[in-house]
Amino acid sequence: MNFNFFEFIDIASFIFLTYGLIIISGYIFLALYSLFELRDYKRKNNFKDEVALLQSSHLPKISVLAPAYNEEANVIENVRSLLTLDYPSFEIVIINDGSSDNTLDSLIKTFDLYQDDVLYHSPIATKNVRAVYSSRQKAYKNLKVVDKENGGKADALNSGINCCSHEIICCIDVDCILERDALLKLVKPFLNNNKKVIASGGIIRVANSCIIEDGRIIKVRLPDSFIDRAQLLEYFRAFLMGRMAWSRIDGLLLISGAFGMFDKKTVIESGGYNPATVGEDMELLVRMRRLMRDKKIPYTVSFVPDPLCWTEVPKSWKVLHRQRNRWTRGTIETLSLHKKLLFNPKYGVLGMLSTPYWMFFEWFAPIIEFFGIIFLLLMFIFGQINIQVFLVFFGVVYTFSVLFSITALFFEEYSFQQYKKPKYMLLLLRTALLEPLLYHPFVMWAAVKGNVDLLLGKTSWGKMTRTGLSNPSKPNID
Amino acid sequence: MLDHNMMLLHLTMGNLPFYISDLPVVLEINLVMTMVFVVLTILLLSLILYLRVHKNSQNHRRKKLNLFIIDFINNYLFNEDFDKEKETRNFKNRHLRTSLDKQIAIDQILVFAENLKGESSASLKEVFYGFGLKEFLLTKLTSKAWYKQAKALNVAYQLNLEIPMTLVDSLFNTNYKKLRQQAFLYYLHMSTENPLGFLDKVEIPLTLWEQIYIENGLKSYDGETPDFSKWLHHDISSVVIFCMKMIADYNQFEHIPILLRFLHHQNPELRQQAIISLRKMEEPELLPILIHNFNEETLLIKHEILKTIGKIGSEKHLKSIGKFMVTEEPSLEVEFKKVALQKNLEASHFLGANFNTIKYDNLPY
Repeated sequence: MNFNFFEFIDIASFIFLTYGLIIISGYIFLALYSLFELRDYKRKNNFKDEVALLQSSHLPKISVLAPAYNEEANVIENVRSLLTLDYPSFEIVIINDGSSDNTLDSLIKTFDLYQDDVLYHSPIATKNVRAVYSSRQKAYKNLKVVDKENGGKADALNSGINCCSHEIICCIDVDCILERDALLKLVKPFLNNNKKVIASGGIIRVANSCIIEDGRIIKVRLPDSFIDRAQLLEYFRAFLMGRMAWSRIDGLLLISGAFGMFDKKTVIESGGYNPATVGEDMELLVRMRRLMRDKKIPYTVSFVPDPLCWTEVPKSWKVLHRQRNRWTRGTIETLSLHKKLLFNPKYGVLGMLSTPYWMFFEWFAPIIEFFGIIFLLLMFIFGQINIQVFLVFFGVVYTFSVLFSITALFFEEYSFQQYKKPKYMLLLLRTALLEPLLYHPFVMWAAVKGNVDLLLGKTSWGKMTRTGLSNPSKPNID
Repeated sequence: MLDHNMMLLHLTMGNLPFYISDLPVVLEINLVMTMVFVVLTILLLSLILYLRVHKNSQNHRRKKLNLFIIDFINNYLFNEDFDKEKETRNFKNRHLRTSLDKQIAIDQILVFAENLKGESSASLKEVFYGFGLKEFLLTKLTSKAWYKQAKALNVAYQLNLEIPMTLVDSLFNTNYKKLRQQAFLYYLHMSTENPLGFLDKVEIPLTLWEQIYIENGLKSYDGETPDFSKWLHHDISSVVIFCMKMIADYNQFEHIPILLRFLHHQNPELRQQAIISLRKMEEPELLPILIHNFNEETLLIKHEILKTIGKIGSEKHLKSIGKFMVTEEPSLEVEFKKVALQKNLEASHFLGANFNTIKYDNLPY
């Protein structure tokens, strides 16, 4: 076999170019669809008459499920904040997932809890539930605490699903901050749709540096550090561009574990969260969608772009690395578990667009990018390309990354304009210029490492240290 | 194939400047794309800047005009020396020139309308007409954009403005949900005798959200409460369900016999709602029928029956159900035991011998 090195370079260049062009076209379509979706959402929700609906006794009851593992420092304040949500009928179920600190004790003491011999059916198998607690105080009558053996987030949520009373469940991270009207806004798609809605997701906003009082965002501020701001831009891109677009074509594959609402019956029928994966949020939604398709029941998954849920993003590179590593493993696990969907026309948009997109653009993209960079460097080192060529390749990737972030900034400006100060806009612009150089290579490496770790059989979540949002002046303990 | 692609690319790039077209084709493409991205980035940045400036100037205008309008309306309502006709004309000519100005005026009038009743409310309407806002509203209502129509209807019902009903009638079955909701609310607020008359014209199912909107609208309706039984035989089941809910909410006990007939309806959703409404009204005839039908019912309705026994039933009713529960779903067992506990009874006394507690199916992952 005659191997021609120059031909190989040509072919490789064209492969990278074609891949790049496909990615660019994909992103352009996402941007356009998001723009239309955001425009329509704004038009539909430009009325102030919905608050009055909170007085209705016909709104469905909601169970808010929040797993807690070693959350002693913040759990009380978080629960207090959840108890003040504006919704006529809801219960809060805190699942203490075998915490080794005093999470349970402080909950028992603060909310005057007693062991309740409540009866419930457990359609989903979970680790042993030790006890279910209710409060003696009327003010906390909608609070329930489930104490169980440690089994991970998915297992904890499954216990919550078994124990909760209502047919619509809202799964959240206990440390996230919800806007007062979050439940009403998230439940709306369930009630205002001719198709059965199996899930509805909300946008996640970055709370780092925001001013928080009594578990509420008082003032939205742009994060101080570069790493936080880079993640903020990333969230804009993921939520305002990505998920809005997928929502428009009903191809959403992921509803963030930090804030999502589900039809309990469909969740149970699908088997609940899968404790064997680290990407349990994505895996559940894919399984639910698959079930509905297999049963030929018309359904939809909805997405609400209002800023309803605020969370703390990793403040250190180490924690960020762990998080991205886990996300990558979760994506691969889900795609592998549901490989039957891939290019399967039986599953419609899900099979022909969503799963291929996730495979090629979310799973493969960091790997291809990594090898692309290695390839470019090798060519440069072996004198196959000169500095001009190197700069041309670098230029196209860099300008596209900046364009993508600026597009997301434009969407934020067009839709909710949370960062009003001109100084914030300049800082975000600077972040958009620096992010492809300083931040993106890091998350790309974390994703590549996630692939390697999965091959090596790593299955752990990785410790996610958070400093807590209630007191912004607290030092980072990680 | 590769050569063919290169040819095509060369052809399409034939008109490029020399410093680009002299490069290898892969580089040419990359360079062109870089330039396109830079141009697009600059364009988007300009758009962001424009949006900022535009929103800020709108807010500035809103703040300024609001002060003028508040001052004007206060004078109009409470200053006896105020020359209403002349001042209105002057204000309109001086301040209400653009669509934004008119929209700001409408928004401010709505704020006043929320807090004023009777004579003052009539005066506000005069201001509205005097500013020529009715014409502005009608233009919106007849526009092709659904969101403009919806906004116009929203303003119209809040200010009790008469608009041709023919314009509203056609919107009861539109696919734009928000527009449909506003049309319902307009009809409801403007009607003097039959606030739910629009239900006769509804041909598309009501969503639960729309039902809640209508329910909420009825709370502020000043006229006589409608007779909800009028629509219990509507072709659309969601309309029937809504009326059953309202019968219970408004305690229209005289319609209980019709609701009881729904317990034998072939549509399980209607049967379920009939049970819920009759349970709310604590109808004593309900339980014997439910217990008789229990074995033939769907799982969902069996749950409703158990809830009903829990709320208005007795030990005797629970016992009658127990014998039917041998092979039922485990979730029913839990519901049954909950009801037994509620009544301070030992559930095992009533359950069949083969009754088994929960089994796990193989999970799908």
